[in-house]
Amino acid sequence: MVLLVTSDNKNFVVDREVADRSVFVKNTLEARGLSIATPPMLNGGCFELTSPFLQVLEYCQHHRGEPLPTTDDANADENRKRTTDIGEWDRKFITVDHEMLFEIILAANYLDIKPLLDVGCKTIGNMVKGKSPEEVRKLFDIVNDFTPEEEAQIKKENEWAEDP
Amino acid sequence: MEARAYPGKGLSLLQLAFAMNEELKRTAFSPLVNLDEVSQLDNDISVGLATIREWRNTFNRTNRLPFDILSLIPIHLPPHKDRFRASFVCRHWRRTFLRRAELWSDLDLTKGEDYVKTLLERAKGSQLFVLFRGHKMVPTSTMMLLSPHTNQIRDLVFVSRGWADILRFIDTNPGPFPLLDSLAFNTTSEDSDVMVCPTRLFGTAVNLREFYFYSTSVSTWSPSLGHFVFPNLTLFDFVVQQSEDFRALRLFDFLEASPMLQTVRMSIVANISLDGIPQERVVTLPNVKDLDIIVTDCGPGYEIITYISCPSIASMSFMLQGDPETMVLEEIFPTPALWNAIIRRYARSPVEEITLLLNILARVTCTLTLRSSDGTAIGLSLGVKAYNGVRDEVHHQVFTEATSSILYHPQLANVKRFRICHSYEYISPAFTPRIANESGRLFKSLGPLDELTIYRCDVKPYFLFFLGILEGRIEAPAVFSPIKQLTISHPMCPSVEEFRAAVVGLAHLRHALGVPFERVIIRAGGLPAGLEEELRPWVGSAEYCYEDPHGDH
Repeated sequence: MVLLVTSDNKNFVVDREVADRSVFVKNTLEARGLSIATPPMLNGGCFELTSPFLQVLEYCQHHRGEPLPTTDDANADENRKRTTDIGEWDRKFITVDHEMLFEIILAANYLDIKPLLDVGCKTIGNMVKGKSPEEVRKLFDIVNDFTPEEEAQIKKENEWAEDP
Repeated sequence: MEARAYPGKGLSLLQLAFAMNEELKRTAFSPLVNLDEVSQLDNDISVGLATIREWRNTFNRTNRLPFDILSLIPIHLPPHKDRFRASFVCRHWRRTFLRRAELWSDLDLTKGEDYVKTLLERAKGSQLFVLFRGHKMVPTSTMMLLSPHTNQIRDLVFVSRGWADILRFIDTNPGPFPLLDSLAFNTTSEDSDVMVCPTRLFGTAVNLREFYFYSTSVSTWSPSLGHFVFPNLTLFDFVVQQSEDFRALRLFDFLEASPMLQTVRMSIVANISLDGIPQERVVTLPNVKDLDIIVTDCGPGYEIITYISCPSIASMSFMLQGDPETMVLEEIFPTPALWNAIIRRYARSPVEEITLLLNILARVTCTLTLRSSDGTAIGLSLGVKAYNGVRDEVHHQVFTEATSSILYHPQLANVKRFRICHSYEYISPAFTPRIANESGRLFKSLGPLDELTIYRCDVKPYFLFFLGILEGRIEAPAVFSPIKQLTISHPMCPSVEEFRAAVVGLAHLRHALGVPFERVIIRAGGLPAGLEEELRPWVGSAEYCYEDPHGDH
């Protein structure tokens, strides 16, 4: 068993197999020979961590025992990135509001859980896919901040994008 | 947290508007006003507003994502449209995405010179994935832009109406192609003239691993496999459809020159010529694990399969397709001896499991899958075009062919699991006895089985043989092999009562003959009332499992 302590001082006791889904936790434990880690200090603790961390734990518990992606498998990595397919369980799991989605992505990045980071990025990719820039801005509450000069360049590039 | 300053801080918007108004009154119609200054002011305001908006966007949650993560998102998007669109959302996204070189490494040459130049600049020396689509003319000047970058090209795909453009590309970009990993041609050759073609194409792609060659040729000329030699190839995917004879000799030479091949997929729609190939030639592919061959309307050339040897094979499938209107039956139905020669060549250890799958659509297709104890799988398929009116006849012929192949199987006694899937909604009454006769021949010859699975079948024709014995119409064979488990999955019997009678009758008979089933499992959406109880006296155990009748299992 491993005790994980979040930056808001919540304790989580999890199986080693679950904790090892995070490369960060796994490496920390292996390097120090410890069974206690205090890893998830994101951005100086400006995030309320318990909530996304619970989600991340749920993900790790569901995928426990599965082989971890290897860093030297470059081709597989490339193929993994070039698709927006998400497994059914993962899709249901990641169906959360935008705020939580971003928190999960940040947590997955920090804890080095590549498959979860992938699911999060693919989910945003799926949201963006097929949408016009204006629709994407509306979706994420972004304003158009291009100057007229930049807009002219974009207009030209837009022709390439829309050319079938 | 201290608020960040914005340009012009200290001047309220109201003060700014007031000052502008005063300036307007002072200078209106004045010959002293410099129009350039006004334009400059206009521009400054636009830039200022853009800066304020950019500042506003820094508070957006998407912009809290670090560069590495935000720039990962477009990698999951189709390259030619959505990645561009994503870069038009805001300045932060644009800066982030433009910095990630690999987002811009997919080049479509048909999009013009400016596009190619821009993307080559953004790709910053990273690996390139180049697509050439023949629906638009690509000027030679555009092709030449790639010339200094051929050593970056990793994937090259040509979708083209003819070979003329491809040869022009090769002429413009002679290489080298040291990184080229995957090369694909998808051509419909409409070239009317014979062209001058170098004897070897892409000769500098010495590290090529995947080669896709799809060619539909309606002309009398197109480059053949003889123009290519790739010694490090691991995957070869070949589709050829042509009116001329297809010369297997070139194919064999090409395959032999690629000893690293692991996966070979070939579909040949043409009359296959074996000219120039000595009968004793063996094309050994030492590392091939997956071999998949489909030959359609090929004449006696289906024998190409007997020339190929794959000592490392894990999965092999051979499909022979024919049209009874254009081919003689002997060419559609090869002899059982040939099937068994293939089995002997590819089954490295004893075959333990046989699956017989019949599909009746525009073609009647029968696939025989043989799985060995070491996991090697051999799939032999026969697909025959079935026109209305002759469908039942073709269906019967194909079924007979498949059962004969099994009957002549040299290792039939070793088979432990036998599965049948006969996916046909309704077997006509006239046809039922013929299926019964063939399946009876089969069941008589099988040795002891661990499991017999009847899947998506009308079970009655398969059980008629046993029921005939029970009713005294058919003489029981001297030895009746034991079957430990009978699994019936997705039964398609037209009537519930017929299904009940067939299953109970079979269980009863086997009990009477002293070879009862140890276990009967029925997987279905529902079961006739009391069937489990009726079966129990005649079998070791009877189980029912619910299975969604519309699900695919």
